[in-house]
Amino acid sequence: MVSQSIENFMTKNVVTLSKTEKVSEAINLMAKKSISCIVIVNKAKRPIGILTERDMVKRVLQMGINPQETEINIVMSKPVFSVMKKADIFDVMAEMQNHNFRRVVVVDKDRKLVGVTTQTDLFRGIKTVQEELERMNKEMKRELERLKKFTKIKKLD
Amino acid sequence: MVQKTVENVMTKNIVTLQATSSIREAVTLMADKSISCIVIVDAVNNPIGIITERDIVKKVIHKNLNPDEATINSIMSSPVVTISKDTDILEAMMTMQKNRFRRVVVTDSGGKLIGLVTQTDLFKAIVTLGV
Repeated sequence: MVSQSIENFMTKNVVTLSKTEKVSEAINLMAKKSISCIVIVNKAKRPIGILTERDMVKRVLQMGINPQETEINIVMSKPVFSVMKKADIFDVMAEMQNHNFRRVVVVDKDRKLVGVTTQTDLFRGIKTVQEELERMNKEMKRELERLKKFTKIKKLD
Repeated sequence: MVQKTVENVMTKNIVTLQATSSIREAVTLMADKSISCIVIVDAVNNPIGIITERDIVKKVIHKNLNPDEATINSIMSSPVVTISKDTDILEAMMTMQKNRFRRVVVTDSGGKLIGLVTQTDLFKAIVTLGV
């Protein structure tokens, strides 16, 4: 697989909230958009925490907190693991595996949020590479057939 | 690319419940064990449904369903898509992508539940094997 930077394998359209918003707002967004996490950012758009489906199960439902009254700050996971957008995809995959993360937050050199890479994004990337290999394989087969014909004609001559 | 079957990479130690258990039981197991789903089986270990963290967010927390009163069959996804233990891991990955699943249930030749392949399992296989 050709090595590439993580920015080619991220979701750019990230749903964010600020830490002072209510947990109920995060639940609404997660449920309506079927997303696995919401990134919590400060005013400078730097990621300061993350709220995942797991946090909702563990810290909201199981601990019995009231989502309408509780601020995100109380239940979010922090600090959030982030990687630079130019980081190599394989380094990121190794980091994710080492830490048992299902996603990482991607930032630019000013530490501002630019995307999120989930396992789903990485698999999509692998599929793209595989499709490209299959396409090249087919093209080579066609070329081979063309060359075979060419050889036959030559022989007839 | 290395050819490997899902049997080599799947999670074998799966948490199961029956459809008549309360949602609270499922939530407690998910929270205590940090697992992303519970497979719902019938009395003879045939997988009949699945509940995931997303189901809990969408159908319980968001809808304000009481987890102590409602039972699993009211929120589980059913029927559940299964693959055989002999399926190639790349084919399993394609099945998951096509259906937009983050996991798929693995059965033996008799259709009994024997495992679960999650994105994390495939991810480990890819990183380790360099598929």
